Amino acid sequence: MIRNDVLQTLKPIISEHLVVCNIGAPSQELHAMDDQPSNFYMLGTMGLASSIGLGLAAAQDKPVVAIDGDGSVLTNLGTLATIGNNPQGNFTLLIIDNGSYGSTGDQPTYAGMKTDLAAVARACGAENVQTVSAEDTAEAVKTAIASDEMTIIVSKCESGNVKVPVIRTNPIVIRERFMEEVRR
Amino acid sequence: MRIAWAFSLDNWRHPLRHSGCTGVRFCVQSGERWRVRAVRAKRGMGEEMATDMDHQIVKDLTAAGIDYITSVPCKQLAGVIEVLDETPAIMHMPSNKEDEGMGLCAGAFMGGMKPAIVMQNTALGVVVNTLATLIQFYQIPLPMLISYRGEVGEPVACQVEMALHTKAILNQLHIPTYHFHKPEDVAELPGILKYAQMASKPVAILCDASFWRASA
Ligand SMILES: Cc1ncc(C[n+]2csc(CCOP(=O)(O)OP(=O)(O)O)c2C)c(N)n1
Ligand SMILES: [Mg+2]
Repeated sequence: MIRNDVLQTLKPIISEHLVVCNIGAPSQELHAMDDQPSNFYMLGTMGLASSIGLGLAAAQDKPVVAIDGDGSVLTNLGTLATIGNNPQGNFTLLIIDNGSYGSTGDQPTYAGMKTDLAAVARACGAENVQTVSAEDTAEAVKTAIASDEMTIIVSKCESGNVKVPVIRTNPIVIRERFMEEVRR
Repeated sequence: MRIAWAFSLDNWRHPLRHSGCTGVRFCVQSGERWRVRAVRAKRGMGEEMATDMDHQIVKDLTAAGIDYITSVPCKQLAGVIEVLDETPAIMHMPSNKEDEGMGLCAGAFMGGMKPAIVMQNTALGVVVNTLATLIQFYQIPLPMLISYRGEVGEPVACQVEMALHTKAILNQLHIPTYHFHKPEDVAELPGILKYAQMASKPVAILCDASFWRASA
């Protein structure tokens, strides 16, 4: 299973929730299969989906799912320490770990080599960290959203992208409609 | 005005804050020795280093509705950060790098809070991409309280290098920039904070060594 397949299985589970999605192919794939006002798409900044998700979870009570990538977490590794030390019960961080920088042509990341992001997250103080297969990801996310405990899920999947269009929605529109969902 | 800093080395802290807990322990390297300090409110000990100016700044922030702050420390900001940790109206969530901090602020803003970031001017070398592609692209109001290291009164030569680029970077990014040089300049802070919200833009408030020194 590649990222797009994992997102397909997640669709019924996250569709109604606040989702902050990683830059590039992840956002484009999610946008193409299930564009929702409750999705916040990162259009240009690599590495900050988890930080935005944490800030959002801290600011309000609705469940928040941040869909991040292994490469993006590696570029902002300090985020795991901030998350580990500021646990928010309504926050689920899903790291789609395809062992590559998918959007830019599947160049390998260190997460696909010796680096274990789940172990890093635990060492950073996060208490509820799971590594799951691509197939088990949807169930793990469903359980995490329902629980009162902050959860970090590292989903191991294959590298690869599907051909989908870039997101043309105006960023202010993305942000405004997302904030309306937050207030709803 | 001439400066002689009381502390000779940078201080830093461990973000041991847990949600719902107001106490933050941090280490200050002062002269030769290490002291483990605790926030007074929590532990009933420790020496107050915040000045009236630090209190005034945080008062202006809360009066403007700022209720979420992330920070990466600077010696010049130590007093402000101390007051932040004692201010229940503000959720202070330290970050490890300022671009990460701006991500936190963007999330807090979308969650309905009014964020601000407290950082050193050297961090402008870190956050250019995030300012342009996140804060400006999505039009997020973000006051940046920035210690302006490397100005007259600076004891550390290396700090001068980024001081030389500070206003150039802010100008290049078209970021409204205010420079506090004298204590009375702080009177502009409430207006600046309101302006940032009105404009939905990042704004920079540079506070130099003369400002902090004369406010001590
Ligand atoms: C500062 C910066 N460097 C590089 C890029 C180019 N870039 C965009 S997405 C991406 C890959 C992200 O990989 P990952 O988070 O693992 O997501 P994946 O596509 O693999 O799901 C890269 C390198 C960028 N946007 N910003
Ligand atoms: Mg990847």
